[in-house]
Amino acid sequence: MSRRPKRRHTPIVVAVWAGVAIAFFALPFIGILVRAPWGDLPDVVTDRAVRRALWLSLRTSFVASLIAGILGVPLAWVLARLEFPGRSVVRAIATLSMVLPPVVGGVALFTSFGRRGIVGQYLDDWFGIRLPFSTAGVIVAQTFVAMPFLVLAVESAFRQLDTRYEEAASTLGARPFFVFRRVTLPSVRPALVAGLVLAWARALGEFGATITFAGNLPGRTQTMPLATYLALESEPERALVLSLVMIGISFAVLLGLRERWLTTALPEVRT
Amino acid sequence: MTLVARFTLRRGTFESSIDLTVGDDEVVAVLGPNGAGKSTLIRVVAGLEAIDDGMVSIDGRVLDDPEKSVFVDAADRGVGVVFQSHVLFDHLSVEDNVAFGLRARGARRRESRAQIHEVLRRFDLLDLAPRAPRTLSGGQSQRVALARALVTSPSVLLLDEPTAALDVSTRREVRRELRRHLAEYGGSTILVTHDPLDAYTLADRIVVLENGMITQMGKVDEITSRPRTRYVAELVGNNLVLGVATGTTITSETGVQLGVAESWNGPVLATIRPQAVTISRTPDALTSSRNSWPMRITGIESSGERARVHLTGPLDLVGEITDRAVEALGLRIGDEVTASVKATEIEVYER
Repeated sequence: MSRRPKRRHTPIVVAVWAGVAIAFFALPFIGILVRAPWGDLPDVVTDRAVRRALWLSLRTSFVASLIAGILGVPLAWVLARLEFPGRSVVRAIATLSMVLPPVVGGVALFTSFGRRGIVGQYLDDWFGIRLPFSTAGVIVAQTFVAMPFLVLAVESAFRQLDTRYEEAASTLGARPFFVFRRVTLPSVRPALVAGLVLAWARALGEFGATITFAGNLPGRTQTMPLATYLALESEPERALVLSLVMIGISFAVLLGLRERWLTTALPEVRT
Repeated sequence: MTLVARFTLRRGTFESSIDLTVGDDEVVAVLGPNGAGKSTLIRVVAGLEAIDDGMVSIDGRVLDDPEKSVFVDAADRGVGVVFQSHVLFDHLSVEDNVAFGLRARGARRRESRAQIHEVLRRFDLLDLAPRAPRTLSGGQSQRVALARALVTSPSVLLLDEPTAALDVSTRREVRRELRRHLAEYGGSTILVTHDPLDAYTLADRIVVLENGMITQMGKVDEITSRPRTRYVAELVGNNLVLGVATGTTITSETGVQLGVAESWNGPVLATIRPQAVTISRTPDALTSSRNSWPMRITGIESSGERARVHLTGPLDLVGEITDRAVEALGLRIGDEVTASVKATEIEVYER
């Protein structure tokens, strides 16, 4: 007995609410598009200070997401696969910076990696490394707030991974690190890509921790969000154009990676 | 190469105690119902599960001995495994899957090329070499899994339900291929299955595993003609009666008396081949048969020429008669009939 399923009805209340949500997201962007001084766009974009801020933002956010990947993947693996006392505390610490106001993160970084910080003073004394008010400091601040996004995405992928693949690899003579490199890591690639993109986006938008820890030095620590905020005080049109540039970049990346996002959302079903 | 696995393993309420030796060039089929501990045996030998007591060794080399704190990692055991559902690496091509074992041992791509080519040829995989595993059919994927496991010449090969993931039509073909490859392979093989056909066609010896214990071990014809448990009897399609013999009479556990030809004493097993069961309509027909019981038909399975008739009464029996006999007698489920078996048709052996 097979009956044709009825046409699926969309619950109207849900659809209306979803429409409200979309409007809520879309309106601010429309606001920018409407008010943006399109005529000034070429001038502002070719402005030397803007180009420097943009270049700095792209560079630092890219390096920050890379570092987040290099440090975050092993951390995610440990959280997903190792049983040890205090694991939930470690996870809480690893993701704290995600829920903390970024300014607080900046203060925390200052007291640890600042020139008089508990670690920073030795970095300065022994190696002559000064993180505050340097581009490296920007990267540290961005990595600090961005890494949790990567850790959470990759950890859940490690947790869901079918361990039989790793077992098969070990019966074929593969050492643990070879298994990790050749089987485990490729299997979580969609989640890794998604995590890297999330971390990169968070780093690109970083404001509070950066301005607190690294300051606002044009060309060195003044990233796009900082430049935008400062421009809002003096030249609002300029701030609009800068916002427009950042929206463009972020939107392009999201659109370009939509396939990856889909594969993460729909893990392959095996029997 | 001789594999010795003599161990006890406990996981929660499950306990498995095994004593199994597999000789060089021998294929042992481990047959048993789901949850009997078949996969556990494979995991123990492969080094994916540690034992609690006993010892596992290959050719005298101890792989696991809790008493002496010896445990050799899976990677160092030289044991090839073909997993159920094959577990091929989806991010690698067929060729790279097969080459995995060599790469894991540090072989460079260039060095191993000739060897890989030879293995791909032997397993008829040359055309499939660049393909992604998820595009393969069940039979092809099985071949890749076997080639991958054998490429490093392991001294022991473990096959976990090699035909379970396949559809019926490819099963026969895969069995034929497996038979050929197992004959070429010179090591010890354990083949775990719940399909008796796998065991009959591929194994030199059958081990029956139930509830974590070996309940019977022997050549194929021993298992089929002299089953020792109801599970085995059912599996091979034979009738088994557990009872106690005094002279030429056996009293079954349920109190039914069977007349047999040979004189025995003490606890015995008796098998009645389904073909030896006669079914008649008349209750008091005069026959030469010493055994006849009133029975009710609970099921009839017809295969076109022969029919298996399931009977219940003082004991449960399966009889095999021709379809024409079923028709002539007009047998239907629920009918009351008389089943009889000649004493000379009952085979008796020690319990």
